[in-house]
Amino acid sequence: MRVEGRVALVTGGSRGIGAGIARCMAEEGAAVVVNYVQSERLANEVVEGIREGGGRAIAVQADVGNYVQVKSMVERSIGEFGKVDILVNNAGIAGPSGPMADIKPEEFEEVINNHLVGSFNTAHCLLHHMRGLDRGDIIFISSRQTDFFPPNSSPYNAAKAGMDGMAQGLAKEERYNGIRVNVVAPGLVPTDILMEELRATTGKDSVEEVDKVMPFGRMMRPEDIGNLCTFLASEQGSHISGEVIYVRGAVGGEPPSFYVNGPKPYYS
Amino acid sequence: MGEGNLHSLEGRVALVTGGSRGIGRAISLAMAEAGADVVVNFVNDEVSARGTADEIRALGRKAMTCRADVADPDGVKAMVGAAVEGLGKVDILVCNAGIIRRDSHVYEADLEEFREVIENHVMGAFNCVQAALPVMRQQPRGDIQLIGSTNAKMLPMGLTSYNVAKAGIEVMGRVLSKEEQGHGIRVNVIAPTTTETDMASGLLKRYGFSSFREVDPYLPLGRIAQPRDTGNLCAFLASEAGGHISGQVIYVDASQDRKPTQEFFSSAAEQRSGI
Repeated sequence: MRVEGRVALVTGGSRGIGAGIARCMAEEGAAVVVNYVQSERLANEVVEGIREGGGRAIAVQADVGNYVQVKSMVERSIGEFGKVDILVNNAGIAGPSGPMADIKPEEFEEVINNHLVGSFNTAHCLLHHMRGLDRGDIIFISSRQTDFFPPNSSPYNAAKAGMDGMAQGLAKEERYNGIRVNVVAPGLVPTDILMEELRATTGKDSVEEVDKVMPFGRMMRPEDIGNLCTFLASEQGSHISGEVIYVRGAVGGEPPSFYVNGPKPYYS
Repeated sequence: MGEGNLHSLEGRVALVTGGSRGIGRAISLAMAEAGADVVVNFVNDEVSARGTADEIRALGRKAMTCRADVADPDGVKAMVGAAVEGLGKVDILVCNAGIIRRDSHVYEADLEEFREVIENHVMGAFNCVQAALPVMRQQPRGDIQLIGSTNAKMLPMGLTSYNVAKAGIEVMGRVLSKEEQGHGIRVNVIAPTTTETDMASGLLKRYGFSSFREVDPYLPLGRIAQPRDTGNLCAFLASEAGGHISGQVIYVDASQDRKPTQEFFSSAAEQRSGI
């Protein structure tokens, strides 16, 4: 699933799923722009890891919610690598948890601005550039939540549903310009925050212990998302566009507590 | 996660129904290229099935051909038995065999033709899955891939039997993915759009084209879907790299979405003649 000769810009590429995507793209031959907003050290670690493996990468700071910053990130990326022909809109924040009635308008705005406006900004800054290339790929990283819209998550639900909608319309707009647009919607990946929750809900201390109870033998890893993104951007995935693909392990992508403590409805 | 062999299917055995020609052949070859041994099922065209098996062997993999009508449960059971005997197991099942019957609205549809299409797709997939599951559950990992169609979301008038059959396959796949997740079995539906096969050549003639290359520029992403587009996705999903994808319906249609293929062809014909 090679992506040799291509240049991938991964927003929020310094940590978690974004770092996994950046590494997978680099392993399959792409030069990578690792975008970050705060985690400079981690972004540099991802870049160094890619360079040690013989790949090309740079870290570029930009808040995706800020159009001016995004524009200069895109210019810097093109200046460095000559083009950007893969865009992965991965940057995201979790947002507040709680009933919509109790959420502050500023909190809502922040989440929408980061996910939805952020994805618009990056795509908008790159579309004309991509139209001039043989092929372009835009991948939106959405969420398992758009399949069941849980309560107490209205900003995140709205932001991710908005991304799904934007991506599917965009796929049609650009289908005669050689640009593929897809949505990859991950399930739960063990991050620091999730591990705290895992300890509390399952009594298991490590990811490896949790792995044993999962139907497919393990929890997901960032690479599972990265591998699909890389496939979609490769020659082998070149006729897939306008799709929303959930990567969430066993079907519902239920949290590990589901498999430890037995089934519990989503809405509890 | 096995660095370097994330995409390998070495040590696995794929059974591809309708694997002798068109999309089925491409799936068989994609599986073999990734390292799997392959059982090529066919019902009529033994010559093509043998040809596909030879191509697989030329790739250095084992292959066998097996005649069975997927609509016949006993024949399917015998086929799975023969596959296990011949290649040791079945841990990838691709239900690809399919037929299409003449275009007619429900009002005037022929009962037997309608029944035949449903029998072939829906009962066919059911028979294959039921026969393969006992073998598959014994393996550390199993993959069931049902070949759907963009018809299930396009829903063109007149092709009711085919639409219903492919929609039935989608639902079966989605339910099955839940039922079998505890056994390490991944179930996905891969749904191609009109693909460059014998089945699609009728469309070419209807709009006055002599080659798919003439229509390519008018189609989304500049070309008609190739059998290999579907085959590549099947091989990816069966590999470690795609191992956490299950319960999905993935359309291979270059964002064609609900717009019927014939509309692309007719607008291509119009544009070409300068209308």
